Amino acid sequence: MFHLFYENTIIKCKYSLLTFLQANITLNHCFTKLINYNLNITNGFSNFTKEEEDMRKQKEKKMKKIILLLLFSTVMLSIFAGGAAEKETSDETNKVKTITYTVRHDSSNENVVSRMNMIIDGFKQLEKEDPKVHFEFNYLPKLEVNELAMQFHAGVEADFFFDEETATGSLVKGGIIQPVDWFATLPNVKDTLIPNVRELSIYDGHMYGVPIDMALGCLYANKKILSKLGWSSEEIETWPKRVQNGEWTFEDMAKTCKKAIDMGLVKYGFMLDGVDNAGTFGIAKSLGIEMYDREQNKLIFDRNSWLEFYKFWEEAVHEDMMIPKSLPNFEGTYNSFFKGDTLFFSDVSGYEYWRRNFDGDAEKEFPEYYEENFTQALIPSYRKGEPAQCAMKLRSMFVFSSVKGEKLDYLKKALNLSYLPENQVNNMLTMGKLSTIATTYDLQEIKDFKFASDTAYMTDYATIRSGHPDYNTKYSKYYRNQIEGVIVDNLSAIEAVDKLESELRFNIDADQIIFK
Amino acid sequence: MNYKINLRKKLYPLWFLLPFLIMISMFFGFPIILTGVMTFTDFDITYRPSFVGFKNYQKIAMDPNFFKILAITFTFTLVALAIIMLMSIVISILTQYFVKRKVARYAYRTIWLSMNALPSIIYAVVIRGVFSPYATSGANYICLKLGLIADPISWLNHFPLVLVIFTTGFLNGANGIIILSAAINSIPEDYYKAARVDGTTEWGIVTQVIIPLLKWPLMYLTVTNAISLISSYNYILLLTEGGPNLRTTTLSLYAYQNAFENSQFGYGAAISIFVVTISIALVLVLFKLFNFDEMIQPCRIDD
Repeated sequence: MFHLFYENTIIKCKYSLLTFLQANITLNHCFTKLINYNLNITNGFSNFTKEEEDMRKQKEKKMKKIILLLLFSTVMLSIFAGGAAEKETSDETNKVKTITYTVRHDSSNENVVSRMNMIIDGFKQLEKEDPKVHFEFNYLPKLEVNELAMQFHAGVEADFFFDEETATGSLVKGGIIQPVDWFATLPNVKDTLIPNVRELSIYDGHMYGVPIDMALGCLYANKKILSKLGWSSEEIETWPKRVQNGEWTFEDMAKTCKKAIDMGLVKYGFMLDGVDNAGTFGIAKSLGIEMYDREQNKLIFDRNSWLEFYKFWEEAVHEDMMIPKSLPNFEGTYNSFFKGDTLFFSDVSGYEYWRRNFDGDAEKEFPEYYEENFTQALIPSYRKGEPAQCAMKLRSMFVFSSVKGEKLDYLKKALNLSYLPENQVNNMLTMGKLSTIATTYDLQEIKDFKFASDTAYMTDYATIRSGHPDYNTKYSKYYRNQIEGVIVDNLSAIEAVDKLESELRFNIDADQIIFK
Repeated sequence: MNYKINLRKKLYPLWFLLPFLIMISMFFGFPIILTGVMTFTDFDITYRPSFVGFKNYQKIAMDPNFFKILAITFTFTLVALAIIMLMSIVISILTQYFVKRKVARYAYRTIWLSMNALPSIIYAVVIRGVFSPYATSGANYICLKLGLIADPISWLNHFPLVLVIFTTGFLNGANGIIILSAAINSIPEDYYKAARVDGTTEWGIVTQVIIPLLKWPLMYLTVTNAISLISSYNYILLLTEGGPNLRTTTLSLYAYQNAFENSQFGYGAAISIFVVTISIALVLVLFKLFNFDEMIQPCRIDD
């Protein structure tokens, strides 16, 4: 708490301190004269008469009073000058109104910078439409939810920031963010926002995050290894469709992996980026596990579903050997797929990660290289005929609850402009993230971006992790702990489910979770 | 008047101590009191705590992971402590007693001290690389070549606690080496000469002269390292993050995770108070082992 007080005080006294220091130099001159005058008295000029002595003392008192008055005036003037400094700035800009938005921003993260640039483009267009207003941005460091809450409650104000959908519940519980239901009614958004995205953005009856972009957790496959396994070109081309229709399931995947490992074509059949990510969520969804009841805003624990989930891991790791036992601490999971050690890979950031780390021209050479060697599909269903799934990471912009009035109005207008398709393109092409606006995919540049156009259909099958405050901090952590237990500690599926149930009962309030 | 002068004299030292007392109160005392108060509340992300009595302490007792984590904490602390102390004693005696040349002694001390100069993250990255599950990683490569294993091992999955204990113990031994080296160098040569005249072997000199004379620094190192190990989790966090499946989670890490990852500040504070209590108990046990009461007895020989 002390450092917050310090930060605030220093910002507010910035101008006051500078002005005070300048005046202090002048005052030092006066003090020096006073001291010298006194030294002269004590060093030799002590032969004054009584009247002269009294006059000297009166002069001295008067001088001290003047100096103290000057000092006091300087301090008061400095404080006022510091406060007036900002007003002077706005006066100097000749009647153009300057509105400053404070953004919690991680400037080292390219994705965040790209998102911010998209928003800034909207504000720039707004400035052109309304030349009497000028927008500026003041950046504060991006913080984790807990520290954000602490600073928010300590009065360190900001206007908006970007985060994942899983943070929603905690932010709402802390009173930090406000609903943004108005977003879905903006002229450039109401008819173009992808319906599933609109649906998934709702938490506890309201939209709290402005959906900026998304990444889809699909299943990637190595085409060259599939053809070595005897798949024809047609089979490889139609594979995504067969997964989508529920014809190609996890069972087929397990058989394919086993064959590839037995033939020595790969080291690992199926890889995820550890157990800490949306990949495990995607598998859970394809197994039909429901973790969250949207209507009641409660978590759900269905014992039978979770038993099936852990049986899958038991078989995949210890029987079929489809997933390596080293998964929990495996370094370089992405590379193991990209370099051909793994047949299938599931993660949200696959394409984007490989493009950024490609040895060559990422813009020109990578798309062709990817097209030649890899393909992608939805996460297969567990049973034939059931729908395939896709996990989505939805990055949203959250607006602090303190933003009101004119600031909020301009933010709405700027967002409306940011969500024009042409303003969405840069973020997609630069970062490989997918736009939440359907009309963006009609643009030629995006049609030429093959990965985006090939995976756009997946948004209809996408589902996101719950925004409930106990999901990210507890539920997901506990179920992933038990995956590690099954893989590393050889826990049986029943032991894992029992452990998960006991942890959920202990740590989550009974009124926040439904046990089935 | 006399009592005023005496009072003033007694207060003089307090004036000099006052700035430091203020700092300690602000940065240690006040937070400790606040933490204690927090343990009786349901402080969470809403920052609107309400009084819940001893509920958090009851929760500790009923936590299904508590005893497992407590066992891991004691194992981690005691084994890492043993490694630190053994390493400190052996290396300081080898380099300061058996090595006669001064330049060589300084060189050894510098090498061990330089280990503290690098940040923990660098060691963590190196350890993760050496013990990664690939066949070409350092540990797997050597073991495969020597025929000790048939297939590469995922060391961080199968031996996470061992790795974390050895990393912490090995990298925290440097401080002990410096202190014990200085203590050994301060032992008068006459003691060694007298022992040799009595026919004591080198091993006898080590066990009957050097180690007994190192009792104070050994006690200091044991107590400070014990307290530090109970509350530290930096290498655990960097190497395994407390996993897999809580196998390397200690109480202090558990307190941190509950407070800052689960937003259960009250519960996290209660666990941290419990950690402090264990530290105090451990320190009292160590004082008893070292016969601290006897050590602080005034000398019976008049000067």
